[in-house]
Amino acid sequence: MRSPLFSRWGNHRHCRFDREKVWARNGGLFLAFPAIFPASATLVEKHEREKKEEKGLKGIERGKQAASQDAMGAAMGSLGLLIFAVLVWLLLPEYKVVLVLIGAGIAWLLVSCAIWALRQSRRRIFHDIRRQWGPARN
Amino acid sequence: MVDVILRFVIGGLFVTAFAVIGDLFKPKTFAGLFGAAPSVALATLSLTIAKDGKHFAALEARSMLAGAAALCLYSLAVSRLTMRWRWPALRATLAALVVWFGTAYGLWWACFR
Repeated sequence: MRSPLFSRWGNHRHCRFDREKVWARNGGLFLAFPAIFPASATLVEKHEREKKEEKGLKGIERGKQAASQDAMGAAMGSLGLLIFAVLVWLLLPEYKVVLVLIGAGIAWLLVSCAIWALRQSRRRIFHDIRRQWGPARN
Repeated sequence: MVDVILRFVIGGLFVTAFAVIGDLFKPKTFAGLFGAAPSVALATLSLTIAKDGKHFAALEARSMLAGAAALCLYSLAVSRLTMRWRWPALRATLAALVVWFGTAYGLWWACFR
């Protein structure tokens, strides 16, 4: 028969582990939190606006467009981040830490660049089709 | 306290490095890829592995999936708000945080709880 003390210690240990697990599950969300994104998007917008205004043009719209393109890039990069997370989650318990982190980082870069290149080529193809088959311009 | 300072220093170094790399590239959509670089993740995971072990860090990485999916929707929302609705970047990025929190906690609740 287990002593009450042992039983309590066991429960306490179990609770502590559960609490840690809950923290790991919850805290992991913030590894992909857009912490610096608001600042960087605002800076991109400001720089583009100032560049246009130096030339004597209204740069407000150009600034917003630049921020929008930056955000679209971040959306593609976050798909690479998904792959990064999957690789770390599945491989970290089995393999060396350095190998997993470097490998997952390289995978992030490759996947993000591949998605970006795919989008660019698709846009180019659609642009060509529209120019060739679209309504004639006079 | 040392742990917190280490987090700030290492996290800051990773974030700055990726921000500088992002600034080097054009066009804007390509530079934007580095806005979703795993800078915070690399810094935090390295420290977590050192402190709590590989299995704990792997568990964090699993819930990072929900965060990354939320970041994708967040970025799309910011792009939409600035391009179509003509919102300034600061307002759009702050308002879209609702999308990030909603998606991240929604997915976490549904899949990883």
